[in-house]
Amino acid sequence: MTDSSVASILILDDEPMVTRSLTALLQTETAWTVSAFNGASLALAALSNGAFDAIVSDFLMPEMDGLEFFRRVKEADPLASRVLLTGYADKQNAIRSINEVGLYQYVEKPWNNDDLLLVLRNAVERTRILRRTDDLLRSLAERDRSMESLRARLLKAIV
Amino acid sequence: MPPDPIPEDVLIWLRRIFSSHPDPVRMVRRDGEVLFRNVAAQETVPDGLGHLCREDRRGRDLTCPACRLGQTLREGSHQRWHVVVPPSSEHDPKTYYEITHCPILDAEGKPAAVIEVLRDATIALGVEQYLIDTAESLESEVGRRTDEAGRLRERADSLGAELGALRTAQSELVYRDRLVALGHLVAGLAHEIRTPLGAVVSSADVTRRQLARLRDEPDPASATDRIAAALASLDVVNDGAQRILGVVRSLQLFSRLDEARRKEVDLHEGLDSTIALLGCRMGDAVEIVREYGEIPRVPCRPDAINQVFMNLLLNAIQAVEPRGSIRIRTYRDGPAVAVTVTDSGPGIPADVLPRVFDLGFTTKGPGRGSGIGLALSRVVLEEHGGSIDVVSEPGRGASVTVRLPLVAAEEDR
Repeated sequence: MTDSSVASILILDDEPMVTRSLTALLQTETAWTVSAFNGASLALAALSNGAFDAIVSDFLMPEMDGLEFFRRVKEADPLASRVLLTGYADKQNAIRSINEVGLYQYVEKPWNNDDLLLVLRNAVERTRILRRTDDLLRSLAERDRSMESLRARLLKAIV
Repeated sequence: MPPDPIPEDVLIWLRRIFSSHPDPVRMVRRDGEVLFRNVAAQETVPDGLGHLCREDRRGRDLTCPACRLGQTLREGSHQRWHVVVPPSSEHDPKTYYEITHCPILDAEGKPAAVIEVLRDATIALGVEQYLIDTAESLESEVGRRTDEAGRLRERADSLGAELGALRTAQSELVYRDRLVALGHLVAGLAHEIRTPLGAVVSSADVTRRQLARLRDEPDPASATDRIAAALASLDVVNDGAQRILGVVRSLQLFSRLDEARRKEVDLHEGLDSTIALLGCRMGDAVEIVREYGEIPRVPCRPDAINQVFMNLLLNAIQAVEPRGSIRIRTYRDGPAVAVTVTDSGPGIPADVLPRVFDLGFTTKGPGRGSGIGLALSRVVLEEHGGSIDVVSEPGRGASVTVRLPLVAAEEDR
């Protein structure tokens, strides 16, 4: 993925009102591709079809809670930034989720649109930097390997 | 000075007088010589006459040091005392003797001799001793019982204190339970309000943003798009506000139970209007089967009872979604009228069943349940003197029965 490509974002909340609001906000303020879901299984299916730059999830949901969802997200795509958006204002949950699944941010409902946009822009940027670093490290390792084989061939030719 | 001898005729009289006396009787002169013994004394004390008193008793254990002969002679008054004869073998009882010394006064009024009577007092003293022993044992028994009573009282006191402590702890627990339940309720309510509120605040903001940009929008097509987007966001604002209003209403009902008036109500009307209200939420895939029986009008607070029906039907609808059937049965049940709502849903797991009436307990997830419905329904029914019971087996649906007593109606009349 390159910087010029359109950022993509996944939203999961069992409450359609919330996904509608967030989709409207992001469509108004950004050019991102927004995929919104009201059930965790559909969201996970979408995740397996392509990478997202940021993933926003509710905490209390009937199918599985936000923590379990993020645990699976982390397995599928560890670099995607994870943002918990919850109305269950409970510091314990926040600490637990940050510790357990490595959250990027914890946002409480009701949220402020400007704050949320800032969080999501940073989240997207963070993911992109991580991905680019990852790509660079990978190509560096690749180059290391080819250098090594070149050196081996050189040694063979000389000796 | 040698003592005067006792005339022979006197001794004859003495023998006549005491010979048949069943107890041993002796006459002992002032110097201790035994002058006379009756038949019983001869059997008891085998030595012959003419011996000293001391010798006469030799071989017996009548203790001479205890003898009051000297005292009788000195004081000229009779003496009576007891002596103990130890048993000859371990198995024999002790023997007690009561000894009486009566002085015989001479012409000058001085004691010249003593008449001694021995009486076996074992039985009398035994009885006395038994009485003493019994009294002592009774006394000690009384003491023991008193101590025991004291200990029991102390135990009772400490038990009372423990009971008090337990009661305090129990009320503390009940209070804490209530606090925990209240905490759950408040957390659930906070979530129930925060989620739609988030949508309201955000969508109102999006509406404002769209309208702000509309001012400078040169392209009519884009302007139309912005207006459409703003209207869609306003719809979300409206939906969210309605949702919050619903939560607030359920809370108001919770707090205003006492204000509502009792009326005699046809429950079928309440059920029908509740079903009608819920119609839009059900669609055609949920079948409602009414099995209304012949029931009298029931005294109740109709708004509260309708809220209970609403809760039960909402639960049933959510249980059977996306499709299924709900059976509503009404019938007379003794002194009460019963309404049973049975759904064809997945049923309630055994571990969840005991908690369904807990305030703030829900398995539905946010947006679908706040854990208020059944808890509130139970409060409403208890307040009506009725009851609410849930029966369920996983895989076989759930059945909730509400009972409202008719008794109140008779009292009112």
